[in-house]
Amino acid sequence: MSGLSPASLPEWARHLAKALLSGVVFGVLGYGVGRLAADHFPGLGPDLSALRWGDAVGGIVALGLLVACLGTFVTSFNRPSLGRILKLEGPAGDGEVREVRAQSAILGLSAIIMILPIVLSGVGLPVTASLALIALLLVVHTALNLRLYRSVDELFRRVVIEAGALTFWVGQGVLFLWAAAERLGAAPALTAWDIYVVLMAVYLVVSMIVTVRRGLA
Amino acid sequence: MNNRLKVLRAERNWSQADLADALGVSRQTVNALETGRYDPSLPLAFKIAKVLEQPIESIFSE
Repeated sequence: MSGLSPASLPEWARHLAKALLSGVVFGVLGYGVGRLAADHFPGLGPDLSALRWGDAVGGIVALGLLVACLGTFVTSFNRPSLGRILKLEGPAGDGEVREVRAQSAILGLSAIIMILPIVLSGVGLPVTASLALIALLLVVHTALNLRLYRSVDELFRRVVIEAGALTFWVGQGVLFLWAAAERLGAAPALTAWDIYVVLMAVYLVVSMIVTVRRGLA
Repeated sequence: MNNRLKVLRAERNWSQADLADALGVSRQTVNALETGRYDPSLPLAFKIAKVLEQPIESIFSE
């Protein structure tokens, strides 16, 4: 009998299996804790009844970005482990650690920017102030991204370009199908926020696949 | 595209870091090139040939 042991699976499949398993385990755990908290302390948390499905997707994407940020930041303190993850001969050097921490900072800022419109819409801050804060963070985020892009070599740039192209290809396909259904009266209208969070969710998944395929993780 | 990068590097007793420094790329890029996960741009391919002192066609093949 040909057993399908973890060792016989390709590396990307093992990563995917681990991610799915972690998602299921922590998803169930999180739901259980949330359910218990809601049952025992009603009214403790914020009122989530005003949240739409786009907010839920945005929250999940922000959480994914935050987990990636913390994961990369913590791993950057263990050079042998970081070296293995980056598939290097030996431990990671100063340059690699610096680069990973820069990526971690960008991921963290991405998570904040992603969740901020949802949070700010519920705290009663003036719209102008909220927009100004979001715009300011976006400028900082863009500057950090550009700085990182200029500091890396052609492989990293290729990954960024491929992830962008693939996201556009998948995103326009999904958007076209929805737009067609909407035009035919078979689907509800989307808001700019809905489209944006779906696009970011697609980008997150696509960039992970491209990164693994190119051997960067 | 296939390449003999790993063999040529081993013949020179170079580490991935040595080759990466000579080419001005990251160690991850050298690893991705050696494992065939990434085909270099034309400028990088020429640089590889220059650093290894080999004609391009003796390093890369279809």
